[in-house]
Amino acid sequence: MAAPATQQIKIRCNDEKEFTVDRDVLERSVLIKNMLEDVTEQQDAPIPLPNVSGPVMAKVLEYCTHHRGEPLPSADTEQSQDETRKRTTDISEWDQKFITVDQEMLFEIILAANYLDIKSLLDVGCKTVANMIKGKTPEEIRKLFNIVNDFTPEEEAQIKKENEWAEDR
Amino acid sequence: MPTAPSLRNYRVIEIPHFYDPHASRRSQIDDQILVLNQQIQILQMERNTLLPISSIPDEIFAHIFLLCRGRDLSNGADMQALVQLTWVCHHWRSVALTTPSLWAYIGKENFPWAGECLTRSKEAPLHVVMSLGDSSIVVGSLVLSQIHRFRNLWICVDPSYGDVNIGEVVQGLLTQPAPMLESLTLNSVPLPTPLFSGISPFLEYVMLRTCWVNSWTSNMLPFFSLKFLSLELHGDVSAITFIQSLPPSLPSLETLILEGAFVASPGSFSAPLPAPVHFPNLKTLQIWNPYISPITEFLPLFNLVPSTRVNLEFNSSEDETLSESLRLLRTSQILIRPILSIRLSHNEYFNNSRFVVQALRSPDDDSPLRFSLTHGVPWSEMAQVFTSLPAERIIVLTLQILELSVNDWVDIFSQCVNLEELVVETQHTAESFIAFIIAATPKDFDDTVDLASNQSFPFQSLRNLDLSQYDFRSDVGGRFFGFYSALKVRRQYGLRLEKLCLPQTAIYLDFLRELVDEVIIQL
Repeated sequence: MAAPATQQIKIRCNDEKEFTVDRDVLERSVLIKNMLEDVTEQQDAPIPLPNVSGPVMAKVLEYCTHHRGEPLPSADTEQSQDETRKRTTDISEWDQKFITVDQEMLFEIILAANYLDIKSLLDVGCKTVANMIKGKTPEEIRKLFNIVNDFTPEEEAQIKKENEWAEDR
Repeated sequence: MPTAPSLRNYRVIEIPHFYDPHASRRSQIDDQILVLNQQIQILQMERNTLLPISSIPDEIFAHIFLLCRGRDLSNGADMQALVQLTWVCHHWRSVALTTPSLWAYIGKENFPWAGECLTRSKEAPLHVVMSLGDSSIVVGSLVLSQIHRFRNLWICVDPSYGDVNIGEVVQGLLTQPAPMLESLTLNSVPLPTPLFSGISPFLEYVMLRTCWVNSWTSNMLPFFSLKFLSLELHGDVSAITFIQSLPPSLPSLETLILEGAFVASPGSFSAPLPAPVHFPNLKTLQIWNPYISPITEFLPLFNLVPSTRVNLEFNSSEDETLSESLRLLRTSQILIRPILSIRLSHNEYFNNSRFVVQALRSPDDDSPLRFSLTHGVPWSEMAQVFTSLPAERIIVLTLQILELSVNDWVDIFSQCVNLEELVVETQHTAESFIAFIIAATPKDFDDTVDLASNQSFPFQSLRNLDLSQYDFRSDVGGRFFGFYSALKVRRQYGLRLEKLCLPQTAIYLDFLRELVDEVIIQL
């Protein structure tokens, strides 16, 4: 007997780009999972995702497809993950390759993961940014993200004075 | 002829201020510069808001900062990194300063700045790690005055040489209620009775090391949520009183560890023991003690449920009584797994080896062994003693040996077929061990070969591996990748490590975490 066909779901991004995706892949997103559970009858109309563009959604779907079938983090598993992995900023090899994108795409992925409620992807994005920041001086961080120093010299002097202990170390 | 004017003919006149025709204009310009600077700053701030990174919502930013600081505070926190983030720009500073939980850590990293962190963390639950001595008691007292906010507390009190008795100060502060406290570790602190005035409803984990109290009573630790209790009692005979006082106040207790609680010599507890006490939820009872015979006397005090796992670890040389004690333990009704701990160092070599051979050749003794070879004992000297041991009983092996070759490892693992934990304490030994793993493991997985049931395949039973003394950074020969590949192949054969300890300098952790259940970084 043939295995039951996986239900296909259509989604539409804010640039009108549409994707047809297996339901279990899309259900990595808690937002979409809840939306699908709320709809009792099968609908042909695509699910609108007004906060995500086509190129970003393509990346998100790449992630969801790779991790399909893995248990979704619940409050309990998140806690146990806290204990076992100690919430470090380590990222698995595949995720690291996946998230090697330019800064704009990285931040777009983070925003999309937040909007779509994909905790593991949000975690990968945040860890990547944290890893980019760690070990750098404020000036190096500014250069990395094209930030200008918007403190006045007086403000800078005041801030450094109140944090002298941190400079001495 | 004119005469020189007399000084007396001069009068002092008031010289008018030097006329500065540009002062007014300059002042105007200064004002303009100030305004322009303010406008520049506003433009700079606005420009920063238009950057791709500024599209990230503040709450996610705060989470990223938390990752930079380190989320698992039991390993300390990088407070310096956090402070530096507040220097990047106004927006980052604002996010950091309006997230109290970022500052809710007080440890040696930011101890001089503890007051500021108490303020910045507002009412967020605190994680506090303090080692208090004469120079730190003032700040320490300030921090301890906030006990009502503590979620985790770790204190070690150093001996005091000044006018203030630090122990007494801390003891006094520990009488305050701790309504949010979940985890407590005290080292060398005199305990008040009861701790936190008995108000600590969420306390689940308590470790007391070399703490003292006038007398244990049933209201000493009235914490009904407590699940884990570890005590180092140093042979206080009132341990009987203590054990008796526990069950009514700790009905949820799941793990009880008693270290050095029964150091008295055998037979000293001649008085009749009180009635056994019941621990309804106890899952693990672990006793580390120099002597085993007092434990056999005390164990009847624990009325344990059959599912309780009892681990006994001892290291005495009670030559005459050891076999009998082990026999008594094995015939008792509770499930006991005594582990005899033997540590052989170079100086003790002859005495200990005599004891080892005497004790372990007892025909009815099959208890597991924890075996340590330390202080650089050359393997060439130890090999003979090692081969005379019942090596199949060794479940924990600690090695601090120089000059151990790959072939020596072959010898060890051909004998220690039940080894569960290996601790390698020198760089050279670790290097040869890794070379051994690489050499002894097939390069690729072959699903037609049932290696897991092949007795000649080394360390099949190994679950825990401690390489925390091995510095992978000196891995010029690329051993890491061979090690990784070997672990990967082993895993494909169903042989999985549960725990791997590595040094703080460890690299390539991402790879290892995929292969091992738990990777622990030793600080």
